[in-house]
Amino acid sequence: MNNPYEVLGVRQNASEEEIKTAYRELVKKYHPDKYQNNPLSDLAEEKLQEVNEAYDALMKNGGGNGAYGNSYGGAQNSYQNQTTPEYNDIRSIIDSGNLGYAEQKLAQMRNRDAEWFFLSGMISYKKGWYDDAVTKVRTAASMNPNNFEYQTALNNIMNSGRMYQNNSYGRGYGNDDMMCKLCQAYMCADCLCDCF
Amino acid sequence: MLGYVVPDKGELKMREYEVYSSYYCGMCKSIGRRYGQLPRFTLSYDFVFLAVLLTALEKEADHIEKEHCIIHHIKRKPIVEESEAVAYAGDVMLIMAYYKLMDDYHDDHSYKAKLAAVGLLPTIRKIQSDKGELCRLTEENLNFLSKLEKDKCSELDRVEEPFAQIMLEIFKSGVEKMSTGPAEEKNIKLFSHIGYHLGKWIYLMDAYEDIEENITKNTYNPLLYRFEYDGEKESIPEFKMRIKSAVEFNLMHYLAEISNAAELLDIKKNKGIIENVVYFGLRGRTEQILSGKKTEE
Repeated sequence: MNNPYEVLGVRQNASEEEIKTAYRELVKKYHPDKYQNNPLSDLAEEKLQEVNEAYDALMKNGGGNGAYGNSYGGAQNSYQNQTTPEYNDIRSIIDSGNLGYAEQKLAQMRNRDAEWFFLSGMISYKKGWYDDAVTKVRTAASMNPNNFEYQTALNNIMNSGRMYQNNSYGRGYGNDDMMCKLCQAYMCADCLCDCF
Repeated sequence: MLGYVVPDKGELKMREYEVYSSYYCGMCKSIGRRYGQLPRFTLSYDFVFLAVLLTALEKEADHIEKEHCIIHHIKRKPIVEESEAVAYAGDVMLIMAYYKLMDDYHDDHSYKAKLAAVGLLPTIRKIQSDKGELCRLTEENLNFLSKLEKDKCSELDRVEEPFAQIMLEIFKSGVEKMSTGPAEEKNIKLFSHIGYHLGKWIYLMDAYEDIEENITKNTYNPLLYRFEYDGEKESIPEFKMRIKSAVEFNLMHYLAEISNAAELLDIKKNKGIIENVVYFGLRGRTEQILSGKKTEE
């Protein structure tokens, strides 16, 4: 196991409070919600596991043992309401990662109902075709407005960019526009000096 | 398509700025040493990020020396020692510069571009002998792209795909070349993810920025077809306003994926620079393009 202090990014004699803060930050960073339906979710899960182990090692008998690890440990099935056997089949093909084959199967289907658009959209999403994914999942949600799953998926997709924006604000992006402009002016002047 | 991948200089620490510059100068020197003076003039900042990202996986500190250079005769500049990553990023930059020039020649019949491309050709031939597969894939995808453009493809994702695949290959083969043994599965996956989404981001940024030009010159732009532009019903600014939030959604999504992947890399050094590019530089450029302000550089 890696040095738990290094994993959590705290110094060797960090206080309990510091460790907890660092831990909370990292859990947020690698949270499964951020990597939902994402090809990188296994890597994020691994990281979270490592963070949990490091935290447990440092806290030894602390109360929060694996609090996050347990609830997000196993891979959960992201689909809840399963419909026809044919669609179930396609869902499990998608889950196995064989997107090309799933796409092919969908293309053969005549009946293009809400579920068809939803699954088609989820394939696009996993491929990184977000424009296409939004259009299709939105179609599914409007064809079947009472379907909770479609609505949730749509919200998740729409949120992911926002999460990035919040992250960059959190790091101080665009905090003070005036200050930025001053810095830019300063940098430009500095570049000029740099030439000589 | 050049000039989008940059840090936000104002937010860099002085030291980070120096390291970042040293990578730029290092790439320039490396090109000069290997291919002579002429190709150095195609230098752009875009692939400095790649060089920094590739070396960030290694523990050893950067070797930075102050040296003279042909553009800045008097003041000595910090220059990072040539490494595989720096040389690779330099080669990639030349390949992309070459295809960009050829593209300008085909699109606008710019003879200036053709002349520059011919000037670069001997260098490209040399790179091809070493990175044949990468060059072949780049060319293949660009041909495919121009076919989609000729067919006036209205699917944004489809038309973005070839360029995304080129960038994926560039990032992936970079990290494969870097490792002494077989590259770690994990790093290959993460670099591919970053490259792919960076490619999508660059292509869409370029498309949004070029809307006016494409409408006035009556040339292809995927956004005009994707969002059914009708010059008789709406003005160009109205069209841009109408599609802005959809374009912004996609751009931010690509950046989210880039940052998600970057967060999972085991970065050993220059973390501040990488985070600056990912969270400030790319974000800042995105908002600049969306707000319609012209590029400063």
